[in-house]
Amino acid sequence: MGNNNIVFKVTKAHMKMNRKRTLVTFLGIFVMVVLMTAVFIGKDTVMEFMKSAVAAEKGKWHMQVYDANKKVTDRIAALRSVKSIEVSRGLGYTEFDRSANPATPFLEIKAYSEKLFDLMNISVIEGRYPENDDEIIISRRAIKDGADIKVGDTVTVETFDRYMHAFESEKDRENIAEGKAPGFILFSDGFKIDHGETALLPDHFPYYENNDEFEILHKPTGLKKTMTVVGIMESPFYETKGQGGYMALTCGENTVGENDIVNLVVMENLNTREDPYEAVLQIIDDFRTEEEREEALKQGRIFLTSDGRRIPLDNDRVKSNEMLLAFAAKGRDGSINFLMIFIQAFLIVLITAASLILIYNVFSISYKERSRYLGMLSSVGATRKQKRWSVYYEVFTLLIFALPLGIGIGILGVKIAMMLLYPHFSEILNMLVANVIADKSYEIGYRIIINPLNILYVIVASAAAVWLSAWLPALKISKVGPVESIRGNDDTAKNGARGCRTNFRLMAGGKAETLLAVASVRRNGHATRGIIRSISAFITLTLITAFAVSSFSDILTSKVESESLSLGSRFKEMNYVFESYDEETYDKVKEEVENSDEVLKSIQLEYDLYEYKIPMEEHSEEYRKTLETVIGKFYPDGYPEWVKNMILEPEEVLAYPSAAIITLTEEEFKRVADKAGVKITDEHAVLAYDSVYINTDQYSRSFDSGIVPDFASYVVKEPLKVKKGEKLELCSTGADRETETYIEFKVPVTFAGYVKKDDIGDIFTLRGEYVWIIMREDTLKYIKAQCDGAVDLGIGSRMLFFSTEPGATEIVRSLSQIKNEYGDSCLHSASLLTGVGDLKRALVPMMHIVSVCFTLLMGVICLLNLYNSVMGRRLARQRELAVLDSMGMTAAQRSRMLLTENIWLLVKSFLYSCFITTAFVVCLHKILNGRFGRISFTIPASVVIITVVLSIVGLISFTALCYGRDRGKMVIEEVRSETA
Amino acid sequence: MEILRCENISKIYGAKETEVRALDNVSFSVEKGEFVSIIGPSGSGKSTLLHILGGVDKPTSGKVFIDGTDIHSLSEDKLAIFRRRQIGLVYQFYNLMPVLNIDENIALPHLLDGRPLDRERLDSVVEHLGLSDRRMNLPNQLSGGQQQRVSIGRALYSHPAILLADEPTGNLDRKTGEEILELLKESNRTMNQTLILITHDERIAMQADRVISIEDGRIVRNEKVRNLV
Repeated sequence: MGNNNIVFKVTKAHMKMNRKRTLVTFLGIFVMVVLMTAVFIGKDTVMEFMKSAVAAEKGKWHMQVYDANKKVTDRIAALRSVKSIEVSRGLGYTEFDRSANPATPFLEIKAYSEKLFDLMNISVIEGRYPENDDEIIISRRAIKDGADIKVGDTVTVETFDRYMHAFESEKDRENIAEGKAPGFILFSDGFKIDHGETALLPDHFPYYENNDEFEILHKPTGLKKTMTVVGIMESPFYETKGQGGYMALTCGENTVGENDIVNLVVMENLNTREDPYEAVLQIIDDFRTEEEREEALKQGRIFLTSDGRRIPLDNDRVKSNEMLLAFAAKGRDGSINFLMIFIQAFLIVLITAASLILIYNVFSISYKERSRYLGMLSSVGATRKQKRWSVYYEVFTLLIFALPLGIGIGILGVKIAMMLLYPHFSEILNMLVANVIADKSYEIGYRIIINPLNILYVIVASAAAVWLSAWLPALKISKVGPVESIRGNDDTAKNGARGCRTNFRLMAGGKAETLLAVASVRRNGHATRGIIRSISAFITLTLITAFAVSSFSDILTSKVESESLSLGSRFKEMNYVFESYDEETYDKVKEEVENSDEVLKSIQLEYDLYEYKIPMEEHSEEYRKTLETVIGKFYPDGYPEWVKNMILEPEEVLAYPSAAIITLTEEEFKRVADKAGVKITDEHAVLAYDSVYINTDQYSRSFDSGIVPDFASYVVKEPLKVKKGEKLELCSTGADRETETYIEFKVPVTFAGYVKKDDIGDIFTLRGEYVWIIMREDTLKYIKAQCDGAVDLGIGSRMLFFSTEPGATEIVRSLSQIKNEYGDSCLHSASLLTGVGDLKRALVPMMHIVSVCFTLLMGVICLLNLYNSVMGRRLARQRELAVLDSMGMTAAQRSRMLLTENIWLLVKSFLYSCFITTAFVVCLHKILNGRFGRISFTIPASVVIITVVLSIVGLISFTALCYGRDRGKMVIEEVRSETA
Repeated sequence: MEILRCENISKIYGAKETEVRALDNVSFSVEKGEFVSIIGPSGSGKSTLLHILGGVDKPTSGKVFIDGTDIHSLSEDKLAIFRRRQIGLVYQFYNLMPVLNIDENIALPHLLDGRPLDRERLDSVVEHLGLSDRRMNLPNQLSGGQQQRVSIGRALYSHPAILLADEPTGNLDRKTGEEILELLKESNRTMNQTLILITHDERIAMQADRVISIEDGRIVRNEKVRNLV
């Protein structure tokens, strides 16, 4: 390397002399380092924030294992992928005579090991945490319900387990034998008990009085003591409003005795690639007898191990904190892990690509000038290798300065971005408050995660990117001979030994500006390619990012909002919602609201899910095939016969695919139809939403005899076979009033056409595995009248949303007096329904914000790249422009020449972008479809328009900026000046 | 008939301690069709003078009249139009447009004036310059002498009233230099174009009608050649 010293010295001197060029190169490298830092640090920071958000709702635990004995515990603890284990013991229920709520007469007591309070997000709002097994903390829900209890009180505890015995009468037996009754009682939380059976009730089970169907039995567990209430805690995330006992926690040992049966909280070692889930299932299975395994396999869902073995999941005996693990790409769902890794890899690849283009461009721009000085070095004896090293010396010298500065600014950028985004995240998370029973607030802080390994990645990746992007220009430059270099042999020499054909057509027209522009773009590739590359990179990367964001968001939305009705902007303006199942009350209130002076606007939401069905034969072939694909995910070796009879070729109306009904007022219905371009001629015309979203999650209960597949989602467009104007049969079932026999109703309506997302977006967004039928309020009344006697199997609702004048009290006071059958007010804050619902849903807009920021960042970087290219070209042609000025080119002529050049450059760039974007998007779409089913193919038109407009505006304004700023400088100064 | 007159031209670069007086009260005039050479040592101000005469540089004080027009009182655009119509500039380093071939480079000032191409004249100029077989070549595919011929062709093609040449042979070997000089002299003779030529070379200077000698920004000699010989 010793003889390189002189080359390095000359290079250093040259860098100092050509400050502008050195600055442009430095800027390129610096921006790349900033970008890399922002992505690596930003990714971890956002993921950590998301994990905190999940943890705030569900706790920090990774896995819960129920009913584990000592042997199971020891084997789980010995797993390499397990970091630690905490023990929770269900002590049972005790009578709570201080309860003021008759539906919650017990305390449900658990004993937690010390660390578990934190892992399960137990937050004491008054008093302190228990320090021994004589102390207890009680849920705030008890206090809110009016329980007469406070810190310092004592509670007499006499624990018992709750069992249910389902009676089996003679009539039941007959009905079961005749197939008229299912033979079991199914509760809303999924608990199922056969007639004649006695079973232990699961945790958090509601309180029921004994009745004709079943009785509740209390079996003492032996714990009798007096406990002191030392604190009131926020309601734990797993406590539900309907459960029969208030949660109460005490302290317990973190050890498992020989005869203990405990629940375990398993913390995984997230740094290993091993997943303990399968191993834990295997350990539990190892302790089953052959009969137990057979029985469990028959009853519940199955986990297919990596080597093809089938392990029963045994009613979710092992639970995962799925969302939390998903953000560490260690979730149970392979597809979601893949998505998380894919998103991160995608961002890194995209940033690396943008960086490579940026640096490569910087080198290409100064190619000619660099070639000249390297030619000079060559003429005094520098070898090719030394010339290459000269380039490397330059970039690595700049990199040494760019690294600390870029990393610092990158971290600062992430910090500023988080500061700016945090209020938005908080707002989204706080929308959840209304949906959480204990009114707990989501004050989730964020911290910038600076992992030294990430800094190392940034350094290595930046060095690799710099080397890679300098390598090709260095190689090319080193090959140019000294004479050609000194003479300025840029790639105009590539135009062939015979030169270029004279453009007589343009010359004959006296169009000097056009001649110069065309020649400049066509015959000087290096300078113009940089600009074309920048614009193409800007458009391509922005569109690919937009497409990817849209696709990722689509996948996440499918995952978290598989069946939903999201209310649009019209509802979001509303303050209150009134809901009553009593039709008379509802109609009275509706009239009152509509006539109230205090009410500004009102809008009704009426929907009916599962009540109505559409025959399978009226669904499209694509719908059926998609359904089969989803079924195939659960039954890869072929589905059972009942699936064919009940799902794919149902004969009874009950088994037909459901249709979801949503009504609109006459006026709204017409407006939506007009927007969709659908003509309404028939009195009972209906519209159908043009997309059905089918995913594996929706069928996980139906196909619980199959394996647990990775998540996949499919969009079926225009899911009905029926054509516009044809009759569509809406079916329902019921009982004849007189004979009490089962009857099927079929009500024909006229299918008017499909509506798209944008046509009704301001009212609501619809998803789900069923066809949404949109109709007038009167049409639903007509259908209900036709189905008089039908058993209402559906989940329907009629709600009146309204907004009031500020300070309106009369109507609010009046309506809040109206209570439903449970004694709760029928009037609620509208944010309950217009908010994001739950944390999973909150993640979608949050991910969206992050993605938009990333797209913006990419856009800014690419625009900076464009500025660099335009500036670089300007510097490279300084002398040319001065000569043109000296020949008498006016400012207007120069502008025209630059404009013509820009038009050429833009057209070329658009063509390249179109080609590259299409290729990338198709590939990406294929990869995502292969893994996640069939997702919609969307590049938002607005993004395309904005990107194209920004390219045009960017190029034109950068040209004006770079070419206009030294106007007035004397021509001869430019002719004499060295190019930078 | 007087075509060019400069009055008290001064050009000062920098200020105070760093002030450099490149031209100091220079005044002279040139007749139409006259061949004037300006000589002087490096840094004497001769190139600065030529650029001020050509309207590509501005004097700090003084005036330049070409055909009765005070060129530095013109607006930037009017000066540009004036330059392309009245003045042909030949530089030592040719300053051709690298992306245009020979034909296009030669016709460029003419086209910039919005006039359509005179194909016959272009052919005759190219032939006259001896570049007929290289017409499609780009500048970097030509030798220095060929590039300078193109540069002269560009200056001559649109019949400017004054041809200003800044050491046109300074970068060429002796034989090529002589050929270039002959081309310039020929255009001066045949087209009655005024030629102002800067050179270091006294032998070349002596071929002009008049020699102006500059030292330290001042004219130290302004004499007809026959008086010198």
